[in-house]
Amino acid sequence: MNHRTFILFVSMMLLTLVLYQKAQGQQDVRIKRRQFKIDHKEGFSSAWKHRRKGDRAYDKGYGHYQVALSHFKKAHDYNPQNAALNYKMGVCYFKQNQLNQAIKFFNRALSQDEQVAIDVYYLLGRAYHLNYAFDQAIENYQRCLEPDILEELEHKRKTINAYVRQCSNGQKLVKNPVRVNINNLGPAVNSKYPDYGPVFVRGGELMYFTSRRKHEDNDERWLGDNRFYSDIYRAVQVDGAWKNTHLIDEEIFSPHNDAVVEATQDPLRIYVYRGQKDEGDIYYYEKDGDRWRGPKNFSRMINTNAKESAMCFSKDGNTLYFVSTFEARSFGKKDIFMSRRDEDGDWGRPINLGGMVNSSLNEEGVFVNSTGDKLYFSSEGHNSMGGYDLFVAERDVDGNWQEPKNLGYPINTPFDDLLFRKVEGTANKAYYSSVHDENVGAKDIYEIIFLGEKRDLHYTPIREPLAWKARPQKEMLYQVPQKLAIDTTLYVTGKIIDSLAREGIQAKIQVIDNQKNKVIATHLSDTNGHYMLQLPEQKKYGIEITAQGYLFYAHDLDLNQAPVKNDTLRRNFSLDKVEVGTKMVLENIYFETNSSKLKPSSYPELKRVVKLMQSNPGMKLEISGHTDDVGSYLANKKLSRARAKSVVEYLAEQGVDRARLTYKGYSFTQPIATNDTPEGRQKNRRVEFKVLEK
Amino acid sequence: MSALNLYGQKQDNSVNELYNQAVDQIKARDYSQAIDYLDAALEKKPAFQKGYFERGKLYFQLDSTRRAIRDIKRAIDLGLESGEAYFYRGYLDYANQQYDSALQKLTRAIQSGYKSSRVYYIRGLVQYALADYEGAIMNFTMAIDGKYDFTYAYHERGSAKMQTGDIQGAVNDFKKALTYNNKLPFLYNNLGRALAENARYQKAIEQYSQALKLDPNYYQAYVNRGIARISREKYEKAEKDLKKAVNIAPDQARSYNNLGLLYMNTRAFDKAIEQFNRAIEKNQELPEAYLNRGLARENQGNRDKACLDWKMAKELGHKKAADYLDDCD
Repeated sequence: MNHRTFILFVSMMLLTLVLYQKAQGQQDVRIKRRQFKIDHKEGFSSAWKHRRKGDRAYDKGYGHYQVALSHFKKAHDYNPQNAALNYKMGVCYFKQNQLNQAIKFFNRALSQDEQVAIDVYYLLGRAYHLNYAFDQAIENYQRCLEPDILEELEHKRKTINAYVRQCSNGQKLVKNPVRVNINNLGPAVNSKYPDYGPVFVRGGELMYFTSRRKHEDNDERWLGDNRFYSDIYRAVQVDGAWKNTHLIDEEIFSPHNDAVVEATQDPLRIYVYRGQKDEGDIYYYEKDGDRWRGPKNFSRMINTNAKESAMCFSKDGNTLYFVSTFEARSFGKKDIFMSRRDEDGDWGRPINLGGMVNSSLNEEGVFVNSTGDKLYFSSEGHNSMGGYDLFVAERDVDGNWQEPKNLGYPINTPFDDLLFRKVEGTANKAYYSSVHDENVGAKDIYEIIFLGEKRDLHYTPIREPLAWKARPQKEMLYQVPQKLAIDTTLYVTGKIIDSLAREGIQAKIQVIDNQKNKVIATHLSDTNGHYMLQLPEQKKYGIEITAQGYLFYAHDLDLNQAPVKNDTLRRNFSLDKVEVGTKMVLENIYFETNSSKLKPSSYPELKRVVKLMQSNPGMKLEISGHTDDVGSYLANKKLSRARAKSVVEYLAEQGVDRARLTYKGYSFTQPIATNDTPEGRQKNRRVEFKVLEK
Repeated sequence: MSALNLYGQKQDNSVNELYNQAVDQIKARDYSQAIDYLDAALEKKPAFQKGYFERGKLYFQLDSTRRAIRDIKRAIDLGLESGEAYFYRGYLDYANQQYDSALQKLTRAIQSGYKSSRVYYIRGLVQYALADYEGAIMNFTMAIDGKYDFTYAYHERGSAKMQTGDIQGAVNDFKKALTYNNKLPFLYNNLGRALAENARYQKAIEQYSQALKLDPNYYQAYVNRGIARISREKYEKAEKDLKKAVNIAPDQARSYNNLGLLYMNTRAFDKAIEQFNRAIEKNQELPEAYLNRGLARENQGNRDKACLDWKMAKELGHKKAADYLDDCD
């Protein structure tokens, strides 16, 4: 029998089964054969065997619930309607922290039999509580406080009331979460067993912690809670990752429940809670070369016949905070105490930190920051949301500890949140032991990263705020220019001459814009007949030249057809002198077809005749009509006469004395061109005048 | 080609004819040939204001800004009093980021009667650059009043509205711009951004997808769609988008920054830091990348390094950084 087996044996002697059952917290409920067996259904025998095996494991408590559950499941396959079986399955799930399943099976059991177990509401409340369903938890706790149940659970009244308060605290804390990351240190550190209580040396690179994992020399369970004994482990941090986790050196290993509670670098010591005597005291080991020397009783002033379970030093090492159950000095069961080292290096009489820090319930795990003004600890009291919660108390200006503040959700949980540690030099990082969804085992070591004020992430979306920047379209700005005006001026120059004498004469020249029917220039040639006209552009104009004692000249001048050279057209105009017998063909005289009615387009030319007669008052004219040779003589005679008469009548209307005008129709007897061509016939169809007197 | 006459000398048409030939070439969009004609005209008449001006305009179209400025300035120095000339001077100042001078010249162009939509539009751009967003909105509105289908003016007005916080107004303007031109990917992209600003992420994603239909290599839309998908917690799709953006434009720091934020959202802080490092490697002056790397480091419990990053972000002018530094020693 090894040492640990011996202790087990002694423990068995000390603990009664009744006490043990109480420790497990649930009622012993029997699954009755009569109620379990279903008529006309096969498989009862096998199911009943599983029930029996399940019960056997169930009664053993922690460490056996999984086995119990595996058997109960088989029994459940046979009869899922048995309230007691469902209750026990609920308990198995609850004990293994599978809370959703536990809630499901407790509710199922209750639906089948409200009185399946006196503590079913209590356990359902616990499951809801631990699952953060505080409303439902309170509802079920309240049910426990009703007389019919309370009668049986009177011994839990205080606890249940505390749970209700915790749920109420939890509701408030969860509504106002603190900004932290809670990171499980992962399987490199945490095992499927409880792991907790990290302490650090070497600036945080070396961690000692406590684990209740099973190993070669630790395969027996402590009857206090039916878990494996606790031992001390170490792990190192390399590039941010924890590695090389292993059991502490054999010099420190003991057959008792060992837990590391503090470590110092210089000298390198680890302080160990050992549950060897007096309910547990603190010892230390000091490294000497490659070996640990110890254990040495930490201090007879600190260690009492009560349990001393946690401690930490101030930065200078002269102040000690520790947890003790020393009743004579305590407010609750476990309180936090302080001791100062005297000049001889001995620890002074411990002082209870007082009611501001210590509640009427248990405190555990204490840590003071490097400046000594913040004390971190765990408490079941104050405004815990369940189990131990982490709190921080700060000193006021007088050095007194102020009211502790709950570190908040999600640091704290309805489970035990314990053994907070910070590593000096890591401003926003700390470690503790807790239970979260990410748990590797029953209790794990977590890293807390404090994030401070809420901060937004800074996305860098890409907006192209200006289309112009994204896709400039310079064309959009461009305006095609207007063309510049070109100077199209043309010049007409030459001489006005007497048609017979061939000598220059002074004459008035008028230029008419035919399109606008407007005189655009009037020019007087010099006495030698020289003239120069400036015309705005190259097109057809009307030219009218008049001179005293001469017949007028009125013709179109088409500059597009004329031989313009260097923007200049050279052209002489000859005028006929007014002499008796002189004839002049009137241009642009038009009649309606086969009619003697003048067209208005004839009027300008006729007005020139009027002017001629006005400027020569003694002048008498014979107006004559002429035709081509198409048609009979008589018909043409009649038409030519009528047309000559129309002209005379128009001139008379314009104020010419009728007595100065005669008219005649010559038919086709006086052709001026051939009648064999259309052009010739065109010329022959005309009106002339002949000067009879001047 | 001149003719002596009694009244003096006929105007020399050759310069104007060259100019008009240049105009013909401009109409035919042969700007180089047009410049040749203008060169010839200016050789004949070195003080030909309009010749310089039009040649300057052509240089501007051909992206020869320096020559454009020289010619347009010369035209004005030679006495060309033209609103359009001031408009161009104003635009060229804007292009050279001389915003105050640009504003002055554009205003002068308007005062001299050159009140085309394009001058109001450019004046809007100048005011946008001067962060006078209300003024910019007013000018873009004038531009739209003169040209109802002025897609760009609607778009820019939407952007200015974004700056003033009138997100719905911006959405309306971007949509209006799209009614006149639905072939421009950035219009969809920016409409998406405005919708995302109003937390209408699904609608935003639809707009980004439209942009990507038009231009499958439009990495900006991949970046923005990725961000919108992060907001909708569609992390896998977001990762695809952001990685695609990185593939298309591997030098764009912003893509890495956003990819880092995707990993922040999935709490993969190591991967996030890797991306922020890349963002910083591509652009050492992207403050957001430092801020975010600081946040990732803070999340890893490394406040000291986080503080160094935030300090850097502050030095780069990010306003938030100072608040973050409150938590640093």
